[in-house]
Amino acid sequence: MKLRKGPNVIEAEKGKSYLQLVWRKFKRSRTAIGGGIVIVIISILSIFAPFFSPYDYLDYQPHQSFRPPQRIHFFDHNGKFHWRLFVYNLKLEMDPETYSRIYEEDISRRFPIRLLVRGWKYNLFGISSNLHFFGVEEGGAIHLLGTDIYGRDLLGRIFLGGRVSLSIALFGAIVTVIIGSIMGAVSGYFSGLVDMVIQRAIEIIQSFPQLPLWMVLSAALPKTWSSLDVFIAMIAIFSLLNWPLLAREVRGKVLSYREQDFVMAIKEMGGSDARIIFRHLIPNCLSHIMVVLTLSIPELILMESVLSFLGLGIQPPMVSWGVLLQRAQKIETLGQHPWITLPGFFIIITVLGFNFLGDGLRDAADPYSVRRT
Amino acid sequence: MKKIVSIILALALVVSMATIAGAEAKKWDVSDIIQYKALPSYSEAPELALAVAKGELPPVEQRLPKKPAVIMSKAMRDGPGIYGDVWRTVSAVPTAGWNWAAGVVGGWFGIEECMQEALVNTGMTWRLKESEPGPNLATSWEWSADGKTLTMYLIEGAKWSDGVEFTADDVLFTYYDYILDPRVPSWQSAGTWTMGGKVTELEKVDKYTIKWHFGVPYPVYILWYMDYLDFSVAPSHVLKKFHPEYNAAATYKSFIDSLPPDAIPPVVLGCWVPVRFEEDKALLMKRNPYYWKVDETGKQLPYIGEFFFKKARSGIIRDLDMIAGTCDQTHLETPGLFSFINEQVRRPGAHFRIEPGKNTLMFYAALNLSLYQGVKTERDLELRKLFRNLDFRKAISHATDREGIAAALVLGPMLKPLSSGFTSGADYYDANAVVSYPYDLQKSKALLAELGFKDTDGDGILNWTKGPLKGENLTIVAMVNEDQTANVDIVDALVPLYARVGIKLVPKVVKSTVGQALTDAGEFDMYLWRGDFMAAPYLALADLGPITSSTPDWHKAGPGDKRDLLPFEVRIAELLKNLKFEKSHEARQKAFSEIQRLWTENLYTIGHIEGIFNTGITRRFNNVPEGVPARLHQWFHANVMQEQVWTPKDQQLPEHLPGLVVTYEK
Amino acid sequence: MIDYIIRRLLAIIPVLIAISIISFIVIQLPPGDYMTAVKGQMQSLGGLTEDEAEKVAQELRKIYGLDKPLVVQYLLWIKGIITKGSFGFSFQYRKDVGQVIWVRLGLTMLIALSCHFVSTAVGLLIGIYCATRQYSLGDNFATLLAFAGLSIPSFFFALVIMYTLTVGFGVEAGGLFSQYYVLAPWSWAKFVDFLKHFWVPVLIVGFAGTARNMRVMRGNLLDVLNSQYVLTARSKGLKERIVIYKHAVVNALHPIIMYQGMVLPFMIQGEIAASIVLNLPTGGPMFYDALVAQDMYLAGSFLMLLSVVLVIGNLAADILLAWVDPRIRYK
Repeated sequence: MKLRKGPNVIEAEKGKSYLQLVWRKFKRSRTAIGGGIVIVIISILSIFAPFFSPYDYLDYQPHQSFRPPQRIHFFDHNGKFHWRLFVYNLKLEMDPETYSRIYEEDISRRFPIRLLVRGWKYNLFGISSNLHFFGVEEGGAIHLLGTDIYGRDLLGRIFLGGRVSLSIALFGAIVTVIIGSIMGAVSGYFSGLVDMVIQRAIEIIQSFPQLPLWMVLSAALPKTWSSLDVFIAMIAIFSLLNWPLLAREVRGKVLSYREQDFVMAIKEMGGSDARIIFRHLIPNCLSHIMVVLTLSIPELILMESVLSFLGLGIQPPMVSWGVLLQRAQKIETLGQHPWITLPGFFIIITVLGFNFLGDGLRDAADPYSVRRT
Repeated sequence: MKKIVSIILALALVVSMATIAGAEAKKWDVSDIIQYKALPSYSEAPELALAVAKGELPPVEQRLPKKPAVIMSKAMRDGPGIYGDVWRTVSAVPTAGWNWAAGVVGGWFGIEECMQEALVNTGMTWRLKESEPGPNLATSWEWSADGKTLTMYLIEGAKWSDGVEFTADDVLFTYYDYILDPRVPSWQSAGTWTMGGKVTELEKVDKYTIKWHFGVPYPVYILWYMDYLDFSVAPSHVLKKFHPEYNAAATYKSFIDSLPPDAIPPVVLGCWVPVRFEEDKALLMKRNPYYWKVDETGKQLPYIGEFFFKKARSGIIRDLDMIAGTCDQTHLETPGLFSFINEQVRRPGAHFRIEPGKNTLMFYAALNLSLYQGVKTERDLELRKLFRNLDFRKAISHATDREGIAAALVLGPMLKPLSSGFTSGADYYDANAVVSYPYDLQKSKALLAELGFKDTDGDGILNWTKGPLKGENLTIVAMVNEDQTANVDIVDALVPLYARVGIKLVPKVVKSTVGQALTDAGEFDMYLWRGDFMAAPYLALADLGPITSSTPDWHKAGPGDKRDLLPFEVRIAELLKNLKFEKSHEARQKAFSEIQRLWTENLYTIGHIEGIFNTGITRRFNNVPEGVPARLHQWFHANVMQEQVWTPKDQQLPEHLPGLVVTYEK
Repeated sequence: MIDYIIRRLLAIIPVLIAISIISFIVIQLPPGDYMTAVKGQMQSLGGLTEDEAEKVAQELRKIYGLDKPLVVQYLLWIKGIITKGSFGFSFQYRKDVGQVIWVRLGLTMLIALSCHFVSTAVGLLIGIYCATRQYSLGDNFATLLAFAGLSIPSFFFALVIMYTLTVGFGVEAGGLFSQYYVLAPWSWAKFVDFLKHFWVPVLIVGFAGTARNMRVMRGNLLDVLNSQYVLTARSKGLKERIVIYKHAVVNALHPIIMYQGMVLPFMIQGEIAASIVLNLPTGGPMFYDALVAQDMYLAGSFLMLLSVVLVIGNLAADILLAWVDPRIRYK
């Protein structure tokens, strides 16, 4: 067990011991662990989306339109208990006056849920397969979260959407934070002309509303640009427009740190400016950067959904949570098929996960914070 | 499973057909609806009577013309009515001003229909046996023997809302100084009125009689251009002084903007006069004290005293407000909403009901057939050549599962497949003339194979096997206007459908301005559109075929007017040109039947689905004609004839500004 | 200090010029212009044929100078601003841009500032509470709520509220006044009606802001509470409340103060989607509509206005920061 060292010495000497301390601290926060687990689960579900989806989420099944989520049963309608969970199929009927869809369980036949079933073919990282995590046998259908307007399984589409939403948010946040912290630190540390220039750049970028830029983007894109190109462009623009927010805050902190003794000390010892910035000032702001990183990710997920709402972000057929939510905004959705809003729930738990995780990391990154009794 | 569903749907279809099909409108003669005659006595709204008693207004007999327009009780669904109530609705477009004849937008959503009056009335056409324009400011007209002169008799003694008489001077002012003046952006231009190389002359015979002199005999279509908006008359006594023709100090810009929204109240001939306007908040109108129509009991119309427009930013507010009970009418044009609205209307205490319309909602796609307009790359050219091949269009039609899409959007009979051409509720529709290419994957694949497409790289998408695009995937970009939510849904279905036959469809959802600009420039492969304007094809002749260099939208002429017409297009253009002068309905029907056959046989456009265009309207209102269409020759507001709508006393809502009478400063 | 301020104010000018050029170009880039929108309207709402509508559009372009090259249009616009103080002509409203914006300015500021103050005040207080009671039940619950606020898209929240009010309670939703009060003169009853509608946008837009402020404050305060001088203050035996408020909170406020400068345009933009759904007559929806319809002088001028507000806000924030923290020196 290491002896306690004074904080100043710790700061000047970053080594394995620091990381060990961080990890130990992190382990103690249950919410952070919980957040981390949630993130990992959702990430796995998204990455291996085809494996976890019992149905091809791009297929077109108009007669399965707007099926409500199916209930998983232990007991059948006679009250008999079955070890294997099962579902009933749904029958479609139409209200003759309003033409609304009415689905009812068809209790004549049980469809046990089976694991590792063969289903639709897919291609994952170059490997073809038709193995799926769960499913039911022929003649039945299992839609745990219901279906959308063309009968596509919502569960599968949410996993698919997670790929896009998570990656945009992750890459966007990382790039934003890197650019933002460097620019902020440089700006605060050097002051003078450099500060002025970066400040002006920040102002220009900040006062440049994202809306017109996005509209231009979606209108001016060449017809043949693939969804992937659009995706990358969106990440680039996210980062370029969001780094100023972090930069200003880092700058504020750096301005106050700059005059502190330890900086003077390092300078006296012959440390370069770069060393001071990267090895001392920025790490001192680390907890703040962490907060902003974990706040940026959910912000980016939400930003993407706002843009989709205004018709400016990811376009179909590419699927993201924002695109799925866009279809959820019609008033008939809330009235007749509210399960379409479930992507929002996934947004919320992902956001919560990231925030708890970030919280724990922030607390852990400052391993000598004393817990008040 | 599928079978069970199909049987259920079929049964439900049959059952509901009975209820839906009853929306056949009753047809009348003109004289059943409107006549011009003097009545023994007249009466007026209470606040107007009060103003007369105070000496602020002349008595009603002096305000009305000698022979006012009488809305006959025979064609009134609920008979003559009583005064009171306010009509509330929502307008989602900014109000730019009151110089309507110069293209200045009043805010749409009914605002224009409340203020403007034209020579003829095409709002009542849907109810007429003859399906021709009805009288309005022009009480009657007759053709000369050689068909080159049309004499029109205007109503005598009708007054503008400020008491000044309406005369032929106003008509001439509107014609010569708005329509024919090329620098005034009026709603039509000299081109429409030029026939046989000669610009139509308008002669003033006397204060209430005018004569049109045409360059060709019997240009009967021109009557359709004397209706609401096209020929809404402008008050010459107000606007002449702003027109550069009469005022040397004026410019065209100052003329167009001479009546900004705060120049209130404007002088109108219509039922209601704007009296209060707060930008982006609301517009309020009160009855016109000089309105020149009465009912058969002598009551001066309109019955409803106030018209209130809430200003909103999007149309969904109108739907929401109707459900909440604060809006009195809305079009039900979004299929996705249909069953939801049906549910809402059945809730106890629902304020509104649904007035069934006809099958005039139409969603279709058009492939760009032009070899010259908007062709920027080799890819564009190859695609256009492909689109011009009927076999390819057939393949596309066979790949479209119209029933499935309709069922996914709304179950039941409200939506039906549309193979191509006009909807079943359109004027001159002939079911026998329709040729369809229904959903058939095998046929589609076979046609594509015949055209030479093969999946050479095994990715599931067909590849070109010859020509400059050899080896590339067969990709089509479909442009969709983001406001048309049904089309956004439809294109979502087309992507997997086309993928089944090996075509890669890339949807591009754009804002309406961008979409409009791209369409104008001809820069698109394929676009999806909502076409309810085609329900009255006689009014849109120029848009239906290659009549001008920029129509139809999907086959524009390129630079230098270059265009290679397909043989059936030549015939369609010929038929359309002749229709302009065709008086006989049988001949018109024959021509339209042939157009339909050519159109559907050759898949001029690819139809997707058609639907019933209903109107949601408050339960309070009486005299809403049965089966009134949301849009046919005009929009709902003109079709319903708002002056005749009334509300029983116990259901009337309080007015916003009760007792206010429209007055003008001297 | 004074000439620092003057230098900053002078530096605004090149910023404004850059913004005006960028915004003018960017707004014009999508194909079409305002007259294209008019043409579309004429066809769909007016029932004109394509040809007729195109002719009208061309006429209007000539009259309003939209047929001139872009550079000329830009220079004319700038000339108007400098010489006449006129920010151009709004095609949608047919009047001077300045008037259009002015009418909406009051309400926009009112909502944005109210949301801002509410979210800042509430957020800071909750943040302080949470930091001082880290990991307690209250902290976790507030954290959960904060994240809910950050997770729910504001437009979606707005739609749900509107839907609930409309369909669930039969109440006219959206807007800032009920039907009968819109055109009425101001009175106590009208004010009450206003409040009854006003809480909705403040709740929706303020919720997210509250959450963010709470998180940032909590994080900063925790940092500060664990730092040297706080330790010192405690060991000096100072009362806990003084430690927290006089020493810790004050220092934790720095990033929040820096952030103030950018809040207003952020708020205005953040409320755009919610305001569209709620049908509010504020600047946000006006701006969005202007962009969609390519009412370019209106959109461009509004952008410049936002920029001016931002720049002045930043300046105020910097001055405030220097005043609050004597450790900061400017070279």
